[in-house]
This record gives sequence, structure tokens and C-alpha cells, in this order.
Amino acid sequence: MTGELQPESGTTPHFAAVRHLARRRIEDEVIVLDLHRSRIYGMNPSAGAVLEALQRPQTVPQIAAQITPAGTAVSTVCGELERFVAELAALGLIARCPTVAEAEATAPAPAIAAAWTPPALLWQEEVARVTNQISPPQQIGNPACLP
Amino acid sequence: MKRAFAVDLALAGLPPFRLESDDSRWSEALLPRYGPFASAAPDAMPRAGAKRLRLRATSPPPELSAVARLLAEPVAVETLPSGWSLSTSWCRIAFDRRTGCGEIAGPLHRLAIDLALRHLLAEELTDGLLLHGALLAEGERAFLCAGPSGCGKSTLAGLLPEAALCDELAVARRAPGGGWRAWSLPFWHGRPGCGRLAAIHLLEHGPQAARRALAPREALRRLAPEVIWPAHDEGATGRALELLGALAAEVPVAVLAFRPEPEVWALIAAPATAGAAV
Repeated sequence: MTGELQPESGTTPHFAAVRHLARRRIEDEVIVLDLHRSRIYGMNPSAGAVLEALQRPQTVPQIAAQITPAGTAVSTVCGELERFVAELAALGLIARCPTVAEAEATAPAPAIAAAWTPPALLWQEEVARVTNQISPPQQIGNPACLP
Repeated sequence: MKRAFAVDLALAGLPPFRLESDDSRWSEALLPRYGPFASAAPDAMPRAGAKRLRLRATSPPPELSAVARLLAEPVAVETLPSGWSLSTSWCRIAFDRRTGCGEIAGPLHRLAIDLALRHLLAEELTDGLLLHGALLAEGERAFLCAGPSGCGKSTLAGLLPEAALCDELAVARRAPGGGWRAWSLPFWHGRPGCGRLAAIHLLEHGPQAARRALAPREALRRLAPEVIWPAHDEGATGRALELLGALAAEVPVAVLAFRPEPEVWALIAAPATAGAAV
């Protein structure tokens, strides 16, 4: 459902997570693995909630409505979300969606956040894929490893 | 039918990987690397879960000077209805998950077999990870020494000949009774062995030997680049991610700075505690 198409002029852009990501909550971080780009990311739980919301196409205001906790201004969350969504899009972890109608038809049930912390990417590393040649084969004979 | 070349490879405690061909020249091409892990295959079909790879030589062995260039080529990965294929200009590997059989067509050299086995291992490890590291062992305890190319894996293995089991890739699997076990692999040089995974060391060069324990979160981050991730099976990728989280939390992980001196073994083998950053 994700795509590279631009939204029609005058509409609020919809975004969705790209489909090939692996994502797991491990301790207090959400770890996201993107093997198409050979990157792994550590994110805070708010960022994980944004990615969870973006399993279906959503606009920034729609995401904000789901994850803004009571007592926090939605406008505050929207501003921080705009920045973070742009960061995710630049990393290729989310993409703009082609149609608004599709997004509205597939919006998920709201998620509840206990407290608001701005979503943040904490770290990233390059990873290898199984098809990569990792190290050059050693030309030396290593007697330690020969029977 | 009796094959001219047929061996069963015992790797990481998994069901055997059978290599077979009607061309007897494969024996000379493969046994220098895989011999210690191989046994002559019986005529009967391998046992349940075994993988069977048919080898077909499409060209003579490459010149040694050309090997690095071949290895640097990108590999095209294609997901097939019931399996996958890997293609380069010099080889094609196709594997059918449903039947457990595949074919490797390439030069009469171990290069394509290395590639196929790495791929199969990463996919087949439902309870473990394929890791970029040398494996050393003493008694029942095994120590994975991981790190990028040039960090000293082969140097360390060469310094510690009695302990070294392999110098490039190893497997860590959850043990049925708890904890983790590590297994050596025939990359680049290896002899069969396994043991309880007592610690993981992330190697780096330093002015003197020093070990710094990592908390699980930092351990996960530092280990992630050393995992050989399954390339195109999303279920396997997610599973590997979970396993990495467990490995980082359950096995002591430390950064080990070292000079190429055998005395580093004392630090490698010193007791360590999982999740204990210092």
C-alpha cells in the first residue's frame, strides 16, 4: 500500500511504514531493522508508537490524535511529529501513500500513550546481509584452525 | 545411484547439509575447507531436515587474483514461490524450501558453496544467529571474538592455536536447558567444535589488553553489525532480531582491546557476568 506517489495538491500527506522492516521492542528501545538499506536503528518508545501507527497509512494529525496523552496539547505533539516523520521519510523507513481514501478506510483503532516524550531516533548502525562477503578470505594458512 | 562426489557436512548441530555431484573433481575443490566438517555421505537419502545441494561446475576454478573481484560483485537475491535464488555473473544458486533441495552452478571452486551455505545457515537457524567472529574454546567454555574485517579475528586465532576453533564465522544457538551454545564453522579456517557460550568479545586494537563490559542495550547495538542477517525471509529476520536481544541480555558481552600477544587469553577466559557494564 505504500508508494512513491505525491499526494494530490491541497491534501494532507499520508504516510505508512515500508513493508520490509523488522521491528521489535527490546527492553526500553524499539529496534528497527531495514535490510534493504542495510541499517539497524534504535528508537525510543514514542518513536516506536509512531511506527506502529504507521503500519496503516496516516496523516500526522491522525497519528497525533492516537498517541497524544491526556494533558498534552495535540499541537505540541503535531510539531514534533512533523519533524520526526520527515526524518523517518528521509531514512526510507516510511513512504508517502498514494490515496487519501485508502488511508481513511484502513485507519486503525487509537493507541493510548501513558506520557508524552518526543519521538527520537537514538542510534543507527550499518549491518551486513547474508549475501555480503564479510571479510576478504585470508590467504594465510592459520594452523590454529586446521585439524 | 552412487554419486562421484557426495559428502554430508555437520554444521552447528543442524541436520546435515549434503553436497553431491557426478563430477569427482569437487572433492579436491572443497575438501581443503570443508573436509574437517564432512563425512562420506551414505547412499540413502539424508535424514529428515537435511538439505541437499547438487553441484554443477560451469567453468574452471578462477585465478587466485580474480577471487577478490568475484567476491566484490553484488548478489541478486530473488524470492521464488517455494524458495529463493542467488545470482552473480559467475554463479547461480537456487534452493527449494519445500523439498530441501537446491542446485549450485558455478566455477569448480568453493566460492559459490560458501555463499550458499552462509545463506542457508542464516535461514535455518530458528534458535540462533550466524555471527561474524572467531570462536575459541577451553574445555566446555566457548568464547566468541567478533568484529569487523581487520579487527584481529584471524590474528587472535593464530595467537591461540590450542583454543582456536575458527576465525571468521560462528553460530550461537539457544541451548535446550538454558543459556547459549556456540559452534565453529569452516570459515575461513576451522575445525569442528562447540561449547557453552561463556562470553562475547568485540575486538579492537589497543595499546594494551583491556576488557570493558557492556550493558545489554549497548551490547545489542555493537553486536548488530556482526550478525549475518537472513536476507529475504521476513519471518526469519524478525526472529533473528528477537534472538539478538536475548543474546545481548543473557551472555556477557565486552569490548576487548588487545595487542597481538598470547597473554590476551587471560582476559578472554576471565569470568564475566551477563548484563554487567563496568
